[in-house]
Amino acid sequence: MMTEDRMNRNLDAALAAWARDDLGDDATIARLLAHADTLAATAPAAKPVRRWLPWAAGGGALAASLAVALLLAAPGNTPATEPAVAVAATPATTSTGEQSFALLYSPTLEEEQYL
Amino acid sequence: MTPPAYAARAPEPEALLLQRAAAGDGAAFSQLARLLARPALALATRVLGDSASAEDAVQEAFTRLWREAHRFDPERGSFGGWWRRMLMNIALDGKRRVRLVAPLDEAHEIADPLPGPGELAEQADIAARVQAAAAALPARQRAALALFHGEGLSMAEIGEVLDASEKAVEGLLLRGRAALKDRLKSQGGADWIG
Repeated sequence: MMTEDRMNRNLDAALAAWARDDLGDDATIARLLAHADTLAATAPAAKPVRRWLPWAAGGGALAASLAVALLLAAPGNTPATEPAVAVAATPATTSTGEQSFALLYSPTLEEEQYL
Repeated sequence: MTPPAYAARAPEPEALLLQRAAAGDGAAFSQLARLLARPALALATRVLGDSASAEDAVQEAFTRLWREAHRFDPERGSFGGWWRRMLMNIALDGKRRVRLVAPLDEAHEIADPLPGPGELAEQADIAARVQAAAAALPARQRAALALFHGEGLSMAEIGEVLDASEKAVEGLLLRGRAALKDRLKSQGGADWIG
């Protein structure tokens, strides 16, 4: 009767033989090496990239956008609107008679400043 | 605190070749492939159960090795561990269909003993039976057994390769071994394991 210890040793030996057996045939190895040679000859190995560069560029763009947004939002920096006097300058051609005359010969507020 | 074991070791020749390959030295990569091809193919064949899938896996691993050569950092571990992990990730990624059952007569040809003592013939028979029984194990169990018995890795090293804890590796080995034993017994003619 075989002891448990002996059985385990036999199984260990069989597993070691299985795990260390050389399974690669020469033709397969040759194909793999040809593939490796092709890789080495055609495609350059990837160079290390500066991983911080995209982050820095993204961060810079974000900071610039925020700065512009803050600048525009600040009071006193709102874009200038059309001057009020422009509203008064209605085209003469749409008026008739005295209205047209008054519009043509009455100085506007803006013109009065220079008088 | 003691320094990691690899810190005291001399740089591995494979690691030096890889560093040259990362700098664009194609000849160094070809030389490295010559060192790795046969053991990698043997390991992948054991894990995947058939040589065509194994060849495909090793080929993909070479491609990834060339592309990611610059990622290897000797300060973080050995080249052997890094490379085996890459290979096993590719072999076990689920894309490759593992052959679940390899009939005994289709098992890989075991080194044919020259006509001679009956003992050699018996050893070849045992090896063929183990090969067929191992083909029926789950891939991770087979990988753990191959790495433990073939490559002589420790539990911790196998855990690193398979991305598992030492406890999990221990479980893989125990279950794999028990399943293998049962399968060998059910095949019959396995008096050598009781």
